[in-house]
Amino acid sequence: MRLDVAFAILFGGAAAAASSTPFWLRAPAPAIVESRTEQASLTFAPAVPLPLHRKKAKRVVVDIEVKEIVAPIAGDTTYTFWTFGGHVPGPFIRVRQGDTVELHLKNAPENRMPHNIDLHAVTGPGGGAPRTFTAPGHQTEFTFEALRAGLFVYHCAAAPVGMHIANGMYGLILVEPPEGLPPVDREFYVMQGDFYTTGGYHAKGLQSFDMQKAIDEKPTYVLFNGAEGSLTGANALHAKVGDKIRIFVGNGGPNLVSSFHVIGEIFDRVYREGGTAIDTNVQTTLIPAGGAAIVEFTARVPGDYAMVDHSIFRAFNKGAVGTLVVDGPPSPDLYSTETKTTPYAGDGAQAAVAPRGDDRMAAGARVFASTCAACHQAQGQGVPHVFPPLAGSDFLMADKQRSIDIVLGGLQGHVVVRGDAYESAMPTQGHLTDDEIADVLTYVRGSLNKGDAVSADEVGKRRAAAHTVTVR
Amino acid sequence: MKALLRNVALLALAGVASTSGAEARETSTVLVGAGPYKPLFPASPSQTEVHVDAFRLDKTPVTNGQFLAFVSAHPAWRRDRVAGALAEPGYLSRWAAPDALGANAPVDAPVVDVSWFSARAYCAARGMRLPTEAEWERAAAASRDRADGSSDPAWRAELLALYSRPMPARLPDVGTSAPNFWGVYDLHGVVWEWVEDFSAAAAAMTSPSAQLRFCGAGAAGASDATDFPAFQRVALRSSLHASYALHDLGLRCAGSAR
Amino acid sequence: MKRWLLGAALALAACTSREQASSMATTGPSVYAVTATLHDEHAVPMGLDVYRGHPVIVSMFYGSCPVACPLIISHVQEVEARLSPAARADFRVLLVSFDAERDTPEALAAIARAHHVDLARWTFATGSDDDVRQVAAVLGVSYRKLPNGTFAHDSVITLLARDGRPVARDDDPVADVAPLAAAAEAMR
Repeated sequence: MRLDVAFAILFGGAAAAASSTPFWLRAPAPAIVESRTEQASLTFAPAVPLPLHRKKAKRVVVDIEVKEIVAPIAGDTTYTFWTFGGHVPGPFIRVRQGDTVELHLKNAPENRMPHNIDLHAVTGPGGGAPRTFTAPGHQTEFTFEALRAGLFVYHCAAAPVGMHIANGMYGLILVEPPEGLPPVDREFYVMQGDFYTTGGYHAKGLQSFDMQKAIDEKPTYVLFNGAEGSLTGANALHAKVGDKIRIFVGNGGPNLVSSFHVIGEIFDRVYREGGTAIDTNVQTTLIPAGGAAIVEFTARVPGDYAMVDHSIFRAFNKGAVGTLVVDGPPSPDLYSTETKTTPYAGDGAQAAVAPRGDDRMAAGARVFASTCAACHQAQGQGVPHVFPPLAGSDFLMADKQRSIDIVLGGLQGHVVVRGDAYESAMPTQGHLTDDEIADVLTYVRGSLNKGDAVSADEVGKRRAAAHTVTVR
Repeated sequence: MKALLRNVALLALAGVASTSGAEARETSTVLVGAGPYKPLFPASPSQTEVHVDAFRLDKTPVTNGQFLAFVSAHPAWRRDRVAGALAEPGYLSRWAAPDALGANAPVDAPVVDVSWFSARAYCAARGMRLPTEAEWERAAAASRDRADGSSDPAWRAELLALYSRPMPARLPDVGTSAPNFWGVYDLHGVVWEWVEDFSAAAAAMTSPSAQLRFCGAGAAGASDATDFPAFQRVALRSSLHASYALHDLGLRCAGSAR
Repeated sequence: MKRWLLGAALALAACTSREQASSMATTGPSVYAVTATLHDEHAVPMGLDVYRGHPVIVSMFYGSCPVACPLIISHVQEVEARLSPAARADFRVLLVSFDAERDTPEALAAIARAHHVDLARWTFATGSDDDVRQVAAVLGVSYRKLPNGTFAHDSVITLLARDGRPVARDDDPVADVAPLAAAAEAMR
């Protein structure tokens, strides 16, 4: 019997418990086994390895290196991540049901901590964790059979487990059913996780893991793919109108359940919890911590689509948002191509209120009639010795700013208008809006006098300055 | 009592010189007072506290310079002569040569890439030994101003932050951080350190379901599920084999209190 | 999933260069590098390498152990039973106790008798804490003394080549003995 065949048969694939891989394990696979062994091609999010298109089960070799790195988590904030492969999430592993997976886990020598891996696709104690417990500067090897199809989470399970997961040690392994998944135009890899830092949201600089926040389940960040902005702006996902899109969505946790929703889309199909049961026409799907889902939809209308955790404060205040940009021709029947806006006066009023800037005089006249005419009379002529005239008023036109202040704050005391003296108290009209005050003053200054308009801005400025008008 | 112990420690600070080379810096030890230690994984549910007798402990981790002097005096421990079962191939791999330190092993930085066997031999050459896990943990439970900082959440958060920092490209010289209550330096966040009974950690962490594989397992679970720094230390110890040489695992020596 | 490790099946022993073993990472450097002193059922001192020159199975136990240790011993006996007479004649067993305090030479002798082992080829031994720790360390056995005097330890059985290099290792005392027996047979 050939010695290399003896190797292949005798060597059962279990790891050496001590030290690094023996030299005979590092020898190239003997020829007789080679055709049934392949090296897995692994990708980092948001990319997904190509579909397998395999008719038979194989032996697949997966090589993963654990690296502890400092990287940005948001803006000017950095964090010490513990990672599979130098990224959060770890690499996407794609195998076929029935495959024998030979996993090599390497722990980089410059790491501080021991690490291991628990794959939810494994049937057996710890999902592989006891067989892959690796000290820094060493590697372990572990083999399992992928018995069930589905989309599964993997994560580090070294103590303290919550901390290893919270620091980013998770990823997805897809076990394709024997016939593969139905073809689509685009596949994406998105994984949500919650992060706990000693500093607050966007506190600058290197942040540490906050154990108490993790125990209390009060994250500082909830993120897709390990960093704020990982799927927005220049990093947004792209598709075209008409594309069938499939997103493999995982949730590493450690704590939070995700309410995954793409704003503006309905999921045509959801592989519920990453299994083989399919729901249709789903708006928002729950993804358990340590679980996954596959969502599929067809892009029909161009534009920006936000992917969120619909526990919505996580999206807007903790970072759980990503963007899918769809390019292509619009479909006006499906979704309007423009926004039509007209004013609305409230109380179902039918009167068409003139748009701002068109007929301020008319608007001002209406305010005058309802508010000022009671005292200053319908033509602004006033009541002799009681209420001063506004029409042809030298007092009013002498000081524009003062005229605004009077409407805002009222007026008390002795005034002289067109030679006549008045000793009265005018109450404040500050309950009118800036627009209304601007309109009525524009009307009084323009129609009852010969003067210029007043803008809402000017009114706003005087209101803010809160001048009171006093006269001798 | 604490003040008395402190004064005793100060008075008793004898330079226990390394016996193995004239150029090696003197190694100072301090006295760590007797007292309780709460193991993260108690050996039995009723024994949540273990008494640790007073003992001497090196103030700082063993340096490259000190270990070089030892290897020069005991050439069986050179990396090109040591038996494979006693040190794996990474042993002293960052030194420039079997008998020279070089740029990657500053003379006053902690020595790393040493196996348990070589660490024991180093301490034995000085008439000392490795600390037990209980002794090391007893010394390391101290914060800057208390013998037992375990009930101080700020101290625990500080440890977590220290452990989270990635390994620097160049380890700092020993003794440059603040000393703890006992006057011991660098117990946290510099390098991990060998203890005499490191394999007890693996035995301690075994789940009860592994009864057959681990005779006598079924000890109580973790005594404090929030002591993450302790979890990290026990996890690291449980991943070790005696021949391992890690880039961030060094040692310091202990001795009896005399 | 196989639970045992088979290093180079000893069919390779002749092909494996010793130089390779010392310069490359293997699971196989000789454990006889450890210079611990043990003593047997007759209090005769010896080293870990008492059976150098023979294929030997080494494991660790303690006398008052209720379940796992008797399983270890019977597991090794099963391996032995499968060997051909020629292989068995060459085959040795060394069992080292964690518990020098209770496993005195007399106690060790009693255990040997209780299990009906062939003392011409089996040795039960123990040593000081320091020596026992070194033996456990080089064999990769984890253990911890418990307050009641018992030990938590894993049940690792290691097959050593004639020069002390580990060639097979089994950490489950109820596993199938065929692979271990095959490895021992191949060393004949």
